Amino acid sequence: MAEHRPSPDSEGSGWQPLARSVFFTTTLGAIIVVSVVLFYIFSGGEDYIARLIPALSSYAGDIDHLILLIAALVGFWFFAALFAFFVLLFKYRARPGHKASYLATHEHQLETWIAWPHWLVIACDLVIIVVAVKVWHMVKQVAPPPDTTVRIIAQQWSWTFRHPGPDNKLDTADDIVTIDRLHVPVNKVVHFQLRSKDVLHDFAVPVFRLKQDAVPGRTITGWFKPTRAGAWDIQCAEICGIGHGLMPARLFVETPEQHAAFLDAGAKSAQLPGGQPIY
Amino acid sequence: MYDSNPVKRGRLGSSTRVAAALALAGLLGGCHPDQKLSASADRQKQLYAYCMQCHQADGSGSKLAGAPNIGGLDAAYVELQLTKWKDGVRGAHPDDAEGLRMRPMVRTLKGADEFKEVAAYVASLSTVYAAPALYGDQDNGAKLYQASCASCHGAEGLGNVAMGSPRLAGRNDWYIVTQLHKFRSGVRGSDPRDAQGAMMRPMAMALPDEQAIRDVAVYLSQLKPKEM
Repeated sequence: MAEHRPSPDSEGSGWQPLARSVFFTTTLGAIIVVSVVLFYIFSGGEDYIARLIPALSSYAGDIDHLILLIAALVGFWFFAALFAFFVLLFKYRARPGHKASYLATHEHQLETWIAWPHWLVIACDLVIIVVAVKVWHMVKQVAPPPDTTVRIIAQQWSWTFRHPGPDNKLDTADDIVTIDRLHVPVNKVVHFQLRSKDVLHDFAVPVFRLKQDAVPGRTITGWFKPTRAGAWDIQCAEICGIGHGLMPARLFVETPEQHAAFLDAGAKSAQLPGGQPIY
Repeated sequence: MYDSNPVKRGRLGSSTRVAAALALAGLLGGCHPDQKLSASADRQKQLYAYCMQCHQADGSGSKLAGAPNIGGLDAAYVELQLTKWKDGVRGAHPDDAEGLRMRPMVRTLKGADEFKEVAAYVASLSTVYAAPALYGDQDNGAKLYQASCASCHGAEGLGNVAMGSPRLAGRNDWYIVTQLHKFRSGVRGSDPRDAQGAMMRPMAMALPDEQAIRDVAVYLSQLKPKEM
């Protein structure tokens, strides 16, 4: 076996300052990012995401909370693993007078260093699963009784919305059909029946934290309860062809007076009102 | 003379680096969009890039996509249709699946100026004739056409720009049939702002039955005007 002899390059001040600066920069960066994330979580809770994009459905806050919980738990382990990785890299770096060792047997004391984090990670996973299933059940599996129901028909590359009209029943003569414009009353439970004429689409309303795939041949029921009046974006969120990126729509969450005016105008026009300009 | 072997020299020579920088600058300069778009013809072709996905590079269309052949249509007619789509006058009916597919594509053009450019490009393409996709009696179609349609669309099927009636000679038969059905049902042309649609809707009722519609469509799809 050759005698361990450091190469002339690594003697003294070669790569060690570089390794040290990489180590300290990474550690410092990790500490800053973790502190910022923790600060936002503990200072604002789910409001942190709501500050970036408004949370305007009854369940948007629960989904934001879940996302932050996952970010915090996974983020903690991400940075912990990075930290351990770089500490060990630095501690056991090649340097004069230190020989590498090789372990061919099980050493209980060393394995606990793997086993404990492993159990802790599983515990975090369980927390995420329990909270996620609770939110999933509330958003997707059960729905409060509807105040109104709309039908959403997706096609390449437009949205058709069928509103129930003044009688609040779908598939009657007073239905109001619009293209790329959905009108719903604020603070009411709205059920939707989502259909597709051709390929997969996805009805996504970012401010509601709502995403639902549309599958041709199926009618998929979902719900939302808007909490603030205003005009918001709808965007197809499932790649559906060349026009996918050009397939937005507008969502009008209306006060009772605004919604009554919409129903009134729709009921008065014998036929479909003329299409709206696209820009 | 410098030694061009970087391994031997240990690092790139300064002249090599200068040459590489110049080459990179040349590449980036060549990619600059202003140079590509300077000529009007190039700009029109660029604007047509999205249309090409369905209407094909030569304007021959795609039956599968429901996109008709558009090469050789009058620029004024193409511009008018694009404007109608933009304003929601055409292609905004819930039962107009193909029209609704066209609708968002108009979003790739930024208003009247680009409509004009792309319309000029479409007009500069020649009409690509396709074999009949339907069964129809061309002789009967010719008779019906001259009786009901020729007053606006011309005896040769070349259209009438002043009336906003398009050239029909060489248009796809399946497309003509689809559009006649849409006019008859009000899926196309029923918007109160659609002046030409209002004229066309009652005319579409003139053809007595489905076979008459097909006869006219097949006749027009194969019609070659004399002055071509």
